[in-house]
Amino acid sequence: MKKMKLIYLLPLLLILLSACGPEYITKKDAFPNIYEERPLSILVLPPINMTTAADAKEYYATTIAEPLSFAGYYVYPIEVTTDILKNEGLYDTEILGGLPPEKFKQFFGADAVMYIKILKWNTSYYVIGGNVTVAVDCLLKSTMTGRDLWKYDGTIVVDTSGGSSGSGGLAGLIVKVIATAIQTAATDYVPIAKRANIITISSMPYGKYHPTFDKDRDMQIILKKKSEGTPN
Amino acid sequence: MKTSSTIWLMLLSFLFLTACATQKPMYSWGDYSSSLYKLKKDPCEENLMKHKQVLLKIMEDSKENGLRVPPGVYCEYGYILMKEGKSDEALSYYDLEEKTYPESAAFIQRLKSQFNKTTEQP
Repeated sequence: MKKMKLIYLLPLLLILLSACGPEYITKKDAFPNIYEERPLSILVLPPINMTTAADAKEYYATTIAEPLSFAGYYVYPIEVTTDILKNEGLYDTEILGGLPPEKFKQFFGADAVMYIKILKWNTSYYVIGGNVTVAVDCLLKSTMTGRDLWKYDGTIVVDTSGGSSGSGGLAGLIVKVIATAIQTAATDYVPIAKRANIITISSMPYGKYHPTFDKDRDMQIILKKKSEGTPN
Repeated sequence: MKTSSTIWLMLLSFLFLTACATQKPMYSWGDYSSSLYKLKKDPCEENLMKHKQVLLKIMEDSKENGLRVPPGVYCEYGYILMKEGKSDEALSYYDLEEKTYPESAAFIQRLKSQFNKTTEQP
């Protein structure tokens, strides 16, 4: 009985939320390939650092495994895989970017590989936390077909502003749950990178270890046009 | 009539909210990124010890709360032990990683074969 009422309430809530504000798209429509291939394991490559902050590459890499695991994926231990890549002479991100994704299937058994670019300041896709801006560009590629499975490049973002205006939507709610789950006392830099990662990864379809795996096909994410004045 | 439906709604929304709030987190990562960041910034023995303790704490907390140890944690800990020359202990953590996450098998095999290669050399 209680459940029935909830079932009526939810679509109403959705309609209400999607009626106002930006254009929505379902995860399934945004990233159909990932629902076809259902990758389980992700290899995160050393990020490409395009900023002037020399340590951005290293510090960013310390924060990415957590949110990816919360999205339901197996993430290879970045510390270990980076070391192995270094030993193979593959730490240079330019060389890595040139390798066919299939190589990483052979090498690590990974289903998918994540390419991350840490961008300059003032691009269209930034996340503000305090006085520091962290901007990233992520691309998940299949190691089986080489296809793009998911990406975050500023055209698709989940609005996490949430709260009063109702623009947060369901996705925003989930992001908040994750955010509270991973809150820890940390250095100044880490929480900002973490927040950026949460927002970045929240549009990603859930993996096998997530309780709502495969039930998020119709989850609404915001389709946003690239804002004006993007340098890239 | 009106008040009863309001009460209904309030009850339902309360249920909905509490359902979300009490949802168990999937993993306990502890201070992982913080201690790893410190280690990267200053890779001294002390920071390595601290990071090892954080990794152990993640395993303990996960066990205590009935959670799966987050992906890669067993393996990372094993890798540090391997570097310290504690290979038997290291291999047991590699096995734990593979047992917890069967999809890591190929990768764990690679790590183990690397170890075998280095031990075969005089």
